[in-house]
Formats: sequence, C-alpha cells, structure tokens
Amino acid sequence: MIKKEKLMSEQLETDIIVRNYRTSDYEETLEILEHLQDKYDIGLTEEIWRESSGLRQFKPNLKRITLIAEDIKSGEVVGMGVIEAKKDSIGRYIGYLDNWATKPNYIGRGIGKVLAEKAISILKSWGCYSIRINLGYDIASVKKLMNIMGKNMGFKPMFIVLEKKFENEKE
Amino acid sequence: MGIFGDELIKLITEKIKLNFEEKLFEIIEYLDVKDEIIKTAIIKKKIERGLQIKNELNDLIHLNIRSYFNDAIKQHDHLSIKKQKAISFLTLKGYNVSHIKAINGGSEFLNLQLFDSDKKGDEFFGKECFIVKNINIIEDSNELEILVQNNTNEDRENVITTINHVEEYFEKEILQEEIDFWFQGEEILFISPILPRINEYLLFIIDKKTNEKCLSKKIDISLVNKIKS
Repeated sequence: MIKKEKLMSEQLETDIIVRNYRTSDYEETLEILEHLQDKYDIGLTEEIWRESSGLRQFKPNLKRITLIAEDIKSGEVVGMGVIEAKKDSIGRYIGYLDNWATKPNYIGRGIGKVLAEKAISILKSWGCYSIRINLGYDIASVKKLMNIMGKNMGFKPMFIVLEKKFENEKE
Repeated sequence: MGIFGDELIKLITEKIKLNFEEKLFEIIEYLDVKDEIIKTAIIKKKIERGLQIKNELNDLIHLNIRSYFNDAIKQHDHLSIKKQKAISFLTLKGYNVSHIKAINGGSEFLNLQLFDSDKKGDEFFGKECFIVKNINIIEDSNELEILVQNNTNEDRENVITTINHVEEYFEKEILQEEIDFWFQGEEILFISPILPRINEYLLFIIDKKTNEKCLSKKIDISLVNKIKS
C-alpha cells in the first residue's frame, strides 16, 4: 500500500517533496511545533518530542507517520503533519490528522493541501473508516480550513471537541 | 538454540512430538493451576504430574542439545559451518576447545578457518539487513520501544515484523505488522506494551515472499535502559 505512496522520493510540486520524517528533522520540526504551541497551547514539551517521536511507528491498535514537506532547493523543512490510525472502541480504525503546520513564510503556497491529500491517501490505504481533524478554536482559521478541506476534500463538521487539561486543575 | 536455528528446533520438535504428544496437556494444566491459592487434592496431583512431565521434557531437550553438539563437533569436514558454529558457541560460553581435532586429517583446532582473514567482515557474515538501533522502556506508559533501521542500500517491500513474548514454553504474539515498503536507511519505531511478570520479548523481521528471517532479537527488559516519555 505504501509502495504506491512512495513518500521519501515522490515529487509533488516543482519545489516541494513530501517524505517521511527522519531523526535529522528534529530541530526543524521542533521549531514548527513551537509555533503551534505559542498559538494553540498544544501541550508541547521539548523532552517529550524526542528525536524518534516523529518516526513511523507501530504499536498494537495504532499506526503513525509524520509527513514532512521539504523545499527541494534549500532542503528546508517547510511543513509537517502527523497522521495516525487508531482503533476505536467499536473496532474500527479512525484516521487523525494532527499537529498540521506550515512555516509562516510558506503559508498560502498550498503546502498544507498537498500534505493533506497525501495523508488522506495513506489513511485510506490503511483501511480507515473515516478521518477526523481537530481544528484550533479560532473562528477565522476554522472558516479558512473548512473552505479548503470541506469544499475540496469532502470533510464535514461532525463533532465538537472539548478539552480539559489536568495540569491546570486546582485542588 | 538460536545459533543452529531451524535444524536443531526441528529435531527437538520431532522428539517432543514423539515422546510427549499425549502428555503436553498436563503441563498446560499444571501452568493453569499452579498459582491457585486454594490447592485441592486434584490440583496438587495435577501440579505434581505436570512438574514431573516438565522435568522430563527439560531432560529430553538438554540431552538432545548435548548430542547435537557432539555430532556437530565430530564432523569430518573441518570447514563445515555447522562445526564452526558449534565451536564458536562453546568458545563463547567459555569452554576450552583447544583439544578438538579434525578427525580426517588430524589437524588441530587452530587450523580451522573460523575466520577468513582475507575477507572483510561484511563479506564473510553478510551485511545485516535490519539492525536494532535502540531499545528503551518508557516508564510512564510501561512500553517497550524498539528502533529498527533498514541497513541495506535498497528499499525493502513486504516485510513482516512481530513482537512476541515467551511464557514458559509458549510464544505469544503481541504485535504483528506488515510493512509494505521500508525505505533504505529508514528507522521505524515498534512499541510493545510490557506485560506483568514477562521479562523476555522476541523481535522478528521476516521477508514475506521468501519467508527468510531477516532479524531475530531476544530482548531482556531487565537489561534495557529506562526513560520517561
């Protein structure tokens, strides 16, 4: 299945390739995640996002890949996204797009869309029943993303996710 | 046993089948009831009988391994890989093997070409296709992380990875994953839960087409580095 999605070498646009994460991407992905942390408080801590965290990984009932968008000319990591397939409580694999981000100066060049298309084809090949995306609760961004993901890729709003963080809980 | 692989395992399996086929269930029964808090007379009898068969089984395995080693070492062809493996294994275990002589020519063990100095290591042993780069225990989640790299200069297709644990004589599968495409040099992380009272885990990487075992690694978690997630 992945053979068809030869991520390490497939050229998707003239100046961008999408490939799997490598440990050498650690610093650049950390920088991107720190942007996300500043904006959405995703709970990032440097000790937890280790060099091996983004590698393709398999454990019972879970598969995960971090996709990297790389600028061919400069070799710079310009975007990333984590895709996961998790078995839910009724035994179906549900795909998730997580921590999806593009470097600020590359926003608007279609990198997120290219990554998302690749992610969807991988999750489909993994036999996922559906794909879910958690969007940051920021109305302007939601509208923009809904426009791209909804109109072009068939995503519909289905759930609202509420989150409670334990570290902020006061006794 | 791992050194001699299939041949020795096949031999032992046949012996067990021949001698214990009708009795193996009694070991399973014993394993099933041995931790019961209240031990009735029937349970005690099952434990006694199961232990006896388990000991007989152990004796049979040891006897066959010993005789297999004897045969391997007495082989006439001093260049036989089987013989060299046996001698290497005994040397590794600390046995003195300097007295072993090749039967046909009477040449001494030192003349055995255990290593060919004209060849580089990779040519002699073959480059390992997959290597375990790191193993960690994640303390918070009680998981075993195994980092494996495709060490060849080519992408590999259709590779099956399994993680098993061994409980008494039985291997039980924890994870099996078919990797359709494993890129050259790519590292993949396999994560297995750590099960209570299980200290040994087995990692196998098998080529689906040829059924060739590309990697087998026994992991003793008491020797593994512990980290926090």
